Amino acid sequence: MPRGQDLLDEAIALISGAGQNELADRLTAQREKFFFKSLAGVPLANKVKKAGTALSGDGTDGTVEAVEALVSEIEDKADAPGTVLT
Amino acid sequence: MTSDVYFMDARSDSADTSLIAKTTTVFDAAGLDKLIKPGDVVAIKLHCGEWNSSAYLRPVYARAIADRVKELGGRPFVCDTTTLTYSPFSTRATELDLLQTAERNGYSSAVLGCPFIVADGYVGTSDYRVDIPEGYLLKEAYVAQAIAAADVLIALTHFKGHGMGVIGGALKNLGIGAQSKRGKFNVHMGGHPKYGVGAAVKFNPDAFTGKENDTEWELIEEACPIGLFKVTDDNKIEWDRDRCMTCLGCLGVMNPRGIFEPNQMLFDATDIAIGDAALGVVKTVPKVGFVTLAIDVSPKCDCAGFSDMPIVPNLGVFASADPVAIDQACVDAVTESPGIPGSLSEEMGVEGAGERKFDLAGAAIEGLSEQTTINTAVVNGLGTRDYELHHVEPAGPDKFRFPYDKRPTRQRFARMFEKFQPFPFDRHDGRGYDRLEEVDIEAVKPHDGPTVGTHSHAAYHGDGTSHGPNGHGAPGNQWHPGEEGTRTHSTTHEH
Repeated sequence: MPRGQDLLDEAIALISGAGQNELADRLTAQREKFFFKSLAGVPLANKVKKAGTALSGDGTDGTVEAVEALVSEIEDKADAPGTVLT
Repeated sequence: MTSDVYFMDARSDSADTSLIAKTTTVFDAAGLDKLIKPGDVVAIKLHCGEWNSSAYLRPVYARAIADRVKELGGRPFVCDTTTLTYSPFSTRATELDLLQTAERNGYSSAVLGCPFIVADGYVGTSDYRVDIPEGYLLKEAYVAQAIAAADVLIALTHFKGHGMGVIGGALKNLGIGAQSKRGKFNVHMGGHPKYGVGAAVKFNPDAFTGKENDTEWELIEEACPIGLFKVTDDNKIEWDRDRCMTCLGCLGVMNPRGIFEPNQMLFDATDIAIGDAALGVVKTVPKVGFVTLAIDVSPKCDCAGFSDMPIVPNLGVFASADPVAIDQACVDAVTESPGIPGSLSEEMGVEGAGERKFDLAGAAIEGLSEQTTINTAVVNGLGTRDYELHHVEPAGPDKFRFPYDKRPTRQRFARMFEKFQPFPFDRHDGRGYDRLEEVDIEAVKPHDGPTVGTHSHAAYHGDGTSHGPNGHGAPGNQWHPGEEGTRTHSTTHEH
């Protein structure tokens, strides 16, 4: 499985486990996009996994907001048609 | 079989532990000095950096090696080679472009103390073809002419990541860097019936959004040096893929648009070919040695037009006669090192000590391996992954003194200062300068700001203007750092 999808799955499980099903569903909707099948999506998947870990730790408003912000950022960026090679 | 790799770390607290001194210290420790006989022509091959990259090796390291070569009686030159036209706006694809980029990056004969040469000529067709029947994939290589003609090759390598090669080490310095442009087409699988771009890449012409929506659509046609792309009046893209040379110039245009889907086989095959082409160089040049600096370990190579922050701290300097062992030693050192917070290694989740860094933080696509080139060079017999790491001791400070005048201070300056005394003994009762007798030193050391107020007579108020007794119009005011209104940095830090 691509690393981006793998990290995203971990994030989805953490966020869902913390009772934030709507946020988890929004991430699930992004999972099959090319962004997460390429390395381009790995940094954001990694960030949302870390935010999911923090959320499952305390579940305060701050940690929910952090996950929400990353989910929105992912929704903005995941529709890129291709990937940049360097 | 085990190879010897000589190493000094990146810490420094004296002249002989400077990275420059360590570069020549490990060079000698590895016995590379013994490769050079009086009169030998010595090619020092390095990567001179791309236009706007900044992590490439400072020229002083090449200067230090060139000076050492001259001490040994050799005749050095420093060199790099022309690149493929691997972007629509390449900056090193001809000798003229390369020389101008190299010069901007500090590589000139004045700096190096020897000529800087473009080793494969103006276009990149000056080369020497060598058979490599031992090759795993390649059966021939095209070595840049000036390198092939040299008696000795010293590969001076900056160790870093690379989008296609995964790592940029000694093997890549030879397997790409020492190949002519013609040789680089070979290594990048140009014309290959299975792995070349023309054969391997998935072409999605329907991803083109049309001339009206894509303001830079003309780049699709302009990215190919032999004009294999055409955008028709009805917004269709035609590609004569059978003639593709795999120059890579279109990938940066096609991939972000989704018109091309990268094919992992192309990347893997190129990484294999690098290991084979490196063998071609070693077979061509009679004597070859390797010095590698694992510093400023940027994730995306010196051939990118930028340099991201390093993924690991500076690690040190390595030298060996075995390019496989030295690359493996560098990979192992990076793996063992913790990643730098905030760098791409952390972003990709591989910042931990013990984690492989380059497969994710170096490679442009997933599934590549930092071991592919190294393993290929084991298979074709170029070297071994098994090495013994020798920690080299500093050579002592005497060896690294300023070479142009080794006399101590009084011998050098007494007569000069008699004639041109720089200290104004004749002013202020011999104290020389106008200064207060004493100030409260502790008052300006607290980290939360000074404990004394701004003096009403202060000459400089921190805003680029001068006031008070020594301010504008006052005799002797020499302080002019800049004009008001020229500052653009607007971030405010209040304490």
